[in-house]
Amino acid sequence: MSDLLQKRVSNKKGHFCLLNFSSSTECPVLIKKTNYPTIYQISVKSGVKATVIFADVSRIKIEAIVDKDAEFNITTVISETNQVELNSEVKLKGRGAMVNQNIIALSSNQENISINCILNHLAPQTYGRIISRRVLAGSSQSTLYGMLKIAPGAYSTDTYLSDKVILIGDKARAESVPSLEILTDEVKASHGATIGKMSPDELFYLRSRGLSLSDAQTLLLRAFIQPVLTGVDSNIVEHLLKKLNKL
Amino acid sequence: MNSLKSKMSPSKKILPIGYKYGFHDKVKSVFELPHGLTKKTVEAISFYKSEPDWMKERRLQALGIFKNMPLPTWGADLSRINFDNICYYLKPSDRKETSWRDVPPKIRRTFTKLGIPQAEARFLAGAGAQYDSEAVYHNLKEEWVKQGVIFLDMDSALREYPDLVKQYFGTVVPIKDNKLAALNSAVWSGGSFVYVPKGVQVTVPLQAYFRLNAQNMGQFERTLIIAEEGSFVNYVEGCTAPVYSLDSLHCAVVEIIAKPYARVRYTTMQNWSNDVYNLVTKRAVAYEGATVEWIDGNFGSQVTMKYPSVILKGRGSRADILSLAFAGRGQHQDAGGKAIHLASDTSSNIISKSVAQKGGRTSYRGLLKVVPQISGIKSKIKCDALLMDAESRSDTYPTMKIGSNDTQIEHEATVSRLGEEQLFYLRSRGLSENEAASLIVSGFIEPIAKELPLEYAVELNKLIQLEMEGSVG
Amino acid sequence: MPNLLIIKNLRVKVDNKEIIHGLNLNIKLGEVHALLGPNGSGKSTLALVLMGHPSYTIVGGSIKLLGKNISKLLPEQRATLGIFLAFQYPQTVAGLVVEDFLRSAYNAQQVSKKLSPLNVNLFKKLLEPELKLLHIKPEFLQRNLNEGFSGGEKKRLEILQLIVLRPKLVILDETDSGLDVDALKLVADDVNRLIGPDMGVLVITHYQRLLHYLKPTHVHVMMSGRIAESGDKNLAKKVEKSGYEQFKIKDVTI
Repeated sequence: MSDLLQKRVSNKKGHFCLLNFSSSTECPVLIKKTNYPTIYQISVKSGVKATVIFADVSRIKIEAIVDKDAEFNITTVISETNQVELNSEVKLKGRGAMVNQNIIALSSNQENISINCILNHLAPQTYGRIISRRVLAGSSQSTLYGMLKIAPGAYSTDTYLSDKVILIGDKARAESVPSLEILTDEVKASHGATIGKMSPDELFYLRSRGLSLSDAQTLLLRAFIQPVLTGVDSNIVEHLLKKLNKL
Repeated sequence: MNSLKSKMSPSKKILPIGYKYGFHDKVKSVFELPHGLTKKTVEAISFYKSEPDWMKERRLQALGIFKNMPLPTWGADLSRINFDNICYYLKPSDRKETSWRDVPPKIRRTFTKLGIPQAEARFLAGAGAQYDSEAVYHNLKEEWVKQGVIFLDMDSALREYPDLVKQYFGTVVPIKDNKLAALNSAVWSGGSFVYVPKGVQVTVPLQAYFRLNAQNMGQFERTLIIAEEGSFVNYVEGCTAPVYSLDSLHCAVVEIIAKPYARVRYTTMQNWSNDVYNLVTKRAVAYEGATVEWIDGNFGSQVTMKYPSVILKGRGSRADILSLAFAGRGQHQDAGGKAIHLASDTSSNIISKSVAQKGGRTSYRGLLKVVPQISGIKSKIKCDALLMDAESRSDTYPTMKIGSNDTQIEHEATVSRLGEEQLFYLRSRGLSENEAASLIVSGFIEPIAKELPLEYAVELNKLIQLEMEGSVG
Repeated sequence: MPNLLIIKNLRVKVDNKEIIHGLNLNIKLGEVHALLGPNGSGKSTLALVLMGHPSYTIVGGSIKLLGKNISKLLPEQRATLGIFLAFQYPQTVAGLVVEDFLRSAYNAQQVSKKLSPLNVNLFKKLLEPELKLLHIKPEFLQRNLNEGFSGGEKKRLEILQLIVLRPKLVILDETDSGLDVDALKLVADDVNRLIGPDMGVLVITHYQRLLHYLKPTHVHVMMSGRIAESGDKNLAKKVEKSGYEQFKIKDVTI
């Protein structure tokens, strides 16, 4: 990791953390287990590629600004804590800025997970993706608000949100509110969401090839969360898969 | 039934129920009603209509609720409505006619271009005498009476069938539902009452112009449709032609009760002109095996807030909501649909197509709710928005609240502009830029347009062509 | 035979890059010109420019159709003057029924000729014999424009349009790409039926397979934005034998 400036300022209302990426890092920055509410201010400078992975978040707020031709990859893994609040706003400030935001939430018990993400396209030719995969079991509840905003003049923007939720058991609850606010016309903007249980057809197919119900479910769940695991540390992935098995 | 069909020739134009009277600054009325909304106003309205006491009580109750409720903070901007500056009731004999000359030229031109006959155009614009549809109406009326179908204006229905009205009025949209529903409940006047007995299939669409006179039209219509078990009715209202109005607020309520295995389709095409705030609460309850279809077309008006809803109360019931919105300069169409699944094996399908141009704004606002402990739920929501230029705006705010896992739910939304290559392809075949744009836009809304009665579909295409003029390039 | 298309010293830019550098081409009525060239030579650009695509800017030279300068005309005006482009990638327009589209295009031609447009029934009658000849089922006309069409179906629809609109200058842009031999033969037969003294054809092709079935009267090789060599069908054989390398223009100044 080169040129990474980290500054911790403690204040009564929780932690405040500044991440300033002024040159590309091949190595993702891993932020683990924040026990107290923390605000992350992230700045990705012109032409820089940066990846940040948050694991085991509880209450965090992310404010990121991505400059001209910069690429910001952010993955948030939610799997352990009971009360989770994720608020994030990524501003694509410079022409050609890109963001890939992945969210994965697995909960098996009484977790209450609230996710609020905004992608704000302020310049032309910017690119944004929010890909969210949530697996909720037990009596967990989760809400996701995903807002894609395109400001006037941000033409040739390409933005997309995909929120998929699998509910296991009959007590889990999910809410999905993907939204669009588009103020310029020459753009590609869309979103898609699906909520439901695992596909009975897919399960049947796997079982017809000899897998037990439990193995089939695990396989499908793994495939389900695959798109959001790119770049995530293998330890974390293993941990997640173990948790999946237990669901 | 065939003889009836021949009387309903497809070329007959449909009149809107939204015939508006010109409220000029001071209207001399024998019956002096002050502007503004007070207990006296409400009592006077009830007295004037000779209503039973229970309705008067309801109105007063609603008034109280209206005064205490805040306006919704979401949706379009309603801050400019001045509730005190509205005349809430005017006797029919005191209504003033606008002169045809005073109708804005743009409106008069639109009527011509849409091919609306002059007499009807005058009526629509409030410049003509009442449209006499008695002759056409008469035979159909006889047929309905034989079958036990009731189709009346709401005021008459309250007089002739008070018990029936009392049983269902306010059961789908309670007084407390929202501020505007409370307002409507306090000052409602006009609207339709439809009752279809068990097993009766009303195959000819009930079109609102069959209600005879202008008494039934107004700002605060209240419509109630009751479809008994196994019945079918298709109710159509509105007109794609612009309705000239000096009223600033149109606040209607529509309640539909679809009993087991009944099917109700309610089609509305509204094209308010001027500064109309068009705020409507439309809700249906579907019992076991019933189907409710809302087809909602919103053009014109300055602001529209309308979210036809279906409460899927009975097992196996189904909701189909098709919403079309066109917003031009200075307009905000905030529309969508709500499907609330309270029972198992229910399904809902929402399609929203919107077009925003010349700085207009279209917003889709929807709700899909599935309560816990139910199973076999299927829902598909598709919202597509077309932005014609860089000044216009499109928003999508769908909410999904899912409490059960035995569901198959899909939601998809896209925003796009007119394809350059598509335009070029059509132009390379001799079509002008406007013609090409019209065809593309017509194709865009086709999944909804194909559900409209033929006359509407034809008018709709003509309207699109008019709207496209000067919007491309 | 009279001149149909005269292109003189044409220079065309797109995105500030000059793609066509001084192209000259003369097509007379009744002639079939084949335009060969490697990818990137500017062949499809020429087709789009002739049709008036807004993305391309003419920065030099002239294009005359039947003596009339068309460089400033809109695409729809060129269409009614008699130019037809069979696209390499025809566009899909959801919700637009093929029959309605064809009728609109036909009526645009009628109106420009000061003739009366045809209504739905009359137009249907007009199409019937053509559908039979092309072996196109009537259901095909009820589909949405190019929606879910295979490559072959798209090309056939282009040809059907060609037959209905009876243009003077026909430009076939890589009509053979993506088609198997049988489909190719069908397309070629259809075009051959139409070729006559009232029409001039410009066949743009990379692979020349189409030229086995459509007999060109003139063959040109386009390299780097201009015509490198012109000849007859022997030129096509030369290309088939030894490729495009031999035509490379050594001293191209851009």
